Amino acid sequence: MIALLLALLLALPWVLPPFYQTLFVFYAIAALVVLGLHLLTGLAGLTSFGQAAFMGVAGYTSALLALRAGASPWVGLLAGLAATFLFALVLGLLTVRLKGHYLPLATIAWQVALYIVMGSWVALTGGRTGLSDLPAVAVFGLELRDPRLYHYLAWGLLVLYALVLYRLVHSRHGRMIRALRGDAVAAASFGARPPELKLWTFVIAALGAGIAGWLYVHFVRFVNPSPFSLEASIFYLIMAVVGGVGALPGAFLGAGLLTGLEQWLKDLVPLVLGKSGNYEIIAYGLILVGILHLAPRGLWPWIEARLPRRTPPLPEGEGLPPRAEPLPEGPLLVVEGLTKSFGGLLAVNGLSFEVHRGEILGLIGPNGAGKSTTFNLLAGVLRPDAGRVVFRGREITGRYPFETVRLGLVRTFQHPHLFPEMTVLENAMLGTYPRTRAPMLSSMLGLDRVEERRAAAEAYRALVRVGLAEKAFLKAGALSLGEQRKLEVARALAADPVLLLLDEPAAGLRAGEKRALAGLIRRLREEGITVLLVDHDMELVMHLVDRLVVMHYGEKIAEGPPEAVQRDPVVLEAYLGGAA
Amino acid sequence: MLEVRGLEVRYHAAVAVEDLDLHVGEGEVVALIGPNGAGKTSTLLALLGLVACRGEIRYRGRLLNGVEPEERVARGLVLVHERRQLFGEMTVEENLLLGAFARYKRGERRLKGDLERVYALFPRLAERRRQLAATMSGGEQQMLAIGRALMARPRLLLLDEPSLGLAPLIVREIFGILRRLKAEGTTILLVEQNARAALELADRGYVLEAGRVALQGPAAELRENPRVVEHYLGIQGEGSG
Amino acid sequence: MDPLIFGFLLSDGLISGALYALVALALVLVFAVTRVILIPMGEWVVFAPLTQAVLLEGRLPATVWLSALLLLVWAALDLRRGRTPLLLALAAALVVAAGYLGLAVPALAPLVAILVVLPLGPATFRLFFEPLPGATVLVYLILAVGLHFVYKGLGLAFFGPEQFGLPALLAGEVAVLGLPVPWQGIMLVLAAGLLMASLYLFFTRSLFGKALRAAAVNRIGARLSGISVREAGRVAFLLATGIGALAGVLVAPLSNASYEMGFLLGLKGFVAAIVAGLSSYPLAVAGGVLVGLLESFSSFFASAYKEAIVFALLLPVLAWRSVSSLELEEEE
Repeated sequence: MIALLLALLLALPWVLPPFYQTLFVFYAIAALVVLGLHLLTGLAGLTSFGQAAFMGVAGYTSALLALRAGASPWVGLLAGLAATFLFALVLGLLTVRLKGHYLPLATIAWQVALYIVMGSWVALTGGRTGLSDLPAVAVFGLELRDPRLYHYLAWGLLVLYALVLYRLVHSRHGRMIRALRGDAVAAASFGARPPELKLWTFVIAALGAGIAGWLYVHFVRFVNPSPFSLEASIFYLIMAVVGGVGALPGAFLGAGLLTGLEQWLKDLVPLVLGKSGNYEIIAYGLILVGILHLAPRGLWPWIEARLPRRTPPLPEGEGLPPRAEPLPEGPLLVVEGLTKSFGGLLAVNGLSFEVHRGEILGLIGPNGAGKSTTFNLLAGVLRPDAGRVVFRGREITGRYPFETVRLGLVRTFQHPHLFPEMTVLENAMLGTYPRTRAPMLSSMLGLDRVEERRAAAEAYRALVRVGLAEKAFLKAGALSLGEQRKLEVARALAADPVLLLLDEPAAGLRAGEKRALAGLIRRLREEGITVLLVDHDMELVMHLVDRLVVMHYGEKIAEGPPEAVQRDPVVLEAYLGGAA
Repeated sequence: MLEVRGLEVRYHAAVAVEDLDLHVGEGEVVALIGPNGAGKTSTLLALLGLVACRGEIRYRGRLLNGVEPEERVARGLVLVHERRQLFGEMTVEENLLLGAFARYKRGERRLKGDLERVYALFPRLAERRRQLAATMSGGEQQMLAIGRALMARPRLLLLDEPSLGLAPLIVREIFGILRRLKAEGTTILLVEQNARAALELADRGYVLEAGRVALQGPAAELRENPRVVEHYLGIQGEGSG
Repeated sequence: MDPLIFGFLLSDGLISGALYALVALALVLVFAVTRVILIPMGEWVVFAPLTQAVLLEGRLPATVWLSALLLLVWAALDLRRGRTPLLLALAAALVVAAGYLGLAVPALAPLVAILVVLPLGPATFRLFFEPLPGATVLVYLILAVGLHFVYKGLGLAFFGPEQFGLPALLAGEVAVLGLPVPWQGIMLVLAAGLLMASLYLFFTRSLFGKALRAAAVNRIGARLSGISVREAGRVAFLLATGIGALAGVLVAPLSNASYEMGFLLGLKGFVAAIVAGLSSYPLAVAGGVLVGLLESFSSFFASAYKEAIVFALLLPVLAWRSVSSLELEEEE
């Protein structure tokens, strides 16, 4: 399939009429920017209205070097990318930490600011009229002035960028980037550092736009601010949204469709309105509005659903190396005097208990008793005001999740924080993040293949253990709730847990699913994993756990085996309420 | 006054309420009890139209499916939300007046009387009428939420866990007020985790578990029934063996 | 600096500041109630004076037909909801009638222009935003950006690229502390003040105003109290468009109007709204004045970059706002 497309690509310039040859070059340029948006917006969830500005940075840098210093466009490319890298780093540091809608607003801010500077700094950039007579790109003395030749340059760079991006997306970093977007907390709990990842995503997307900018200015051999305006950025975003920002082919689809439509619309809309002028933005706006209402995930998902599905081969072979350190004697987890208040409210007050190796401990209590807070304190999402937590003989009080997960303290989430667009196997592979090491550059260059294979095998084994092996290549969103819970457990297993913290695993499950889940948890205990679970579902808890700790108003009111706790009058009072 | 048949509430893949039937007669106080996660809150939210559901809901003889929540409030079906949902940056009096907005919109401008009634019922609110809602204690906020609901002159008052997070003394006060409302003839559907308090107040009760009705009957019977305890503490049931 | 020049810049800055403050107020109002960042506001602000200009040239502006059309589409969508479609159709007829009235009586042109532009806001909300009730702020933002493109393109199609000069509603200048200030400018500042005062009274004294605030502060609580959040959204859009159109008509005689200005104007009002964290009305006013003064003084020192400076100012403000914002938004 791919080979066919590549052959087509190579032959195309000689088959198309001249107008379309040029159009295809512009298609490639647009696709570079839109691919960056796929990574940035589609995967990492950071919407940018400023990609065209990065095009401008690279384009102007190269143009200025060529005109003022007589440099070759290739030097211009390197310099342009370096400049884009620097701008992206600085702007990224400012922007990626912004929450929610502040981030896209910030991108608008610097896009407009940069655009105005480009147009106003006449001495440097030639202002609105711009700079002309830029040299053409030359390859071994052959000048690429003809669109047919430029086609190879543009598409060559595009294919390279797409490959690098593809490798990145299908690596441990790519999985984590996608995870960050849906759920930073879940991602952090497996060891990710959100700000770093987001920053690099930002920079890589900007570099794609930089390449596009360079290609643009040396194709038309003229540079002025107008292709790098906020409206251009919006136009690229429209391409991304129309094609489907979540999938790599979507970027190609959107870029191609709208580049093609552009010309057609430029002719059509004035006809409809009965007067000549540049009214096509009306159509773009309507297209965007229409897509958001009718096909919010873009057009690619429609097409993908109709393509034949190839099942990839099952991962096999060695998994990842298991945990080397043996467990010390004594209780696995010790909680002493744990205390936490929010504002004036004391949520957890001097809680102390132990978890022994190989047991299943249940933490229960009526609504508002402080169970979730305790859970989050143990998981490292919250810092306690007082008290200690000791795990495997080491003090872990207040340590972040990404530190404790490496020690083998792994948690699941009450609302499955799975990533519905990723496959079941990819979701499970997220659990291997703290056990793998390949840096981002290795992933992009495809040097992490061995580690990836082992991680896949490990994750697959986890799927087998929970009974989800046949669904490995389905999208996680297609699973039933009971299966989603199992997938969460599988993901936790892929992290090689010593102590598994389960957060309301039974919530929303039907009787049969609960039974299956309980069976799974018992099997895990037999394999040597210790479990601490928090739940409301007495039916599940009472028949599963070895011991219970009962909380009420933030304190421990009872502890012991289920039969004893069920008969404890203090517990009964707490659950059924006092007289009123 | 209220007839529910075959109610089903789902959140994506999770089933919160399944095949639920219940009814509330005029002037009755009905308790909906059960352990956490049993689907009690989802039931109330579905009654008000705040979550999507399937099944039939008949209120005063008319089908409610498809009617917007604001319209249901205007027809006298009023909910005191589990999290109260007060307007924190507004005063007590403003919160109360806004409770009557549906009536105000229809042209009823004489709200003073209702305001005085609420203040008589909740003297603490009268003392704090100009205080911002967000600065009040949990118990006072709960009173304000109930007062706000009363301003709408409800025909059927729905309460979601009024005792949640409150100290026993305050819970006693609030239930005392609910008793007064009952004496005045207000129809109430009360969701509570505190089974004892709820069953002491109510005429009838339903015990919910895992989204279905496990037990039902007159409150007096349920109070004595040991199986209620079991449902709360999971002693009985199929077990997950 | 020469005190006279300082005075000029100050008065200039305050007058633009009043304009930006009004736009910011409108943006904050809409965001608070509907979570929509109303990017097309700039276009509507400039549509009003442009409509007025076309009326004064003796032609019926296309905005009349656009408004009427949107109202009729709205009526068609709500066909089964009681009297609403009838009222909307009536409103559409009213808009057309007003258009002809404006042609016949040029003195009424500014008023007619505002009336004609007014339905654009609530109709846009009903047609494009209401059908997506639970969407994230980001989706609304992208939608708003798309609509901005549509309205900007329509602006070009309706009014062309030229600038229109408009007669002042109050001609001439008056000496304030030795400085000649145009009456029109004073009128704008006074109108802004009056509008702010009325809004303040509306939100704090009238139960309808409080209900609107309630819908902004707590959606669920509002619905539980019988307040329709959809209606609140429409009212918010209506008020915002009214404020914007009025502001546009008042400022146009001072600086001419062209379809392009809308966007930049909207963006500057938007900078002020961000200073206000999209939530505080007093800060919106302060932000507007700040932007106006900044622009005015920058234009003296570094004329070409004055706008770049205003936007660069946005970054630290956004950073500060993001840190102090307690809201957790789910990312799209």
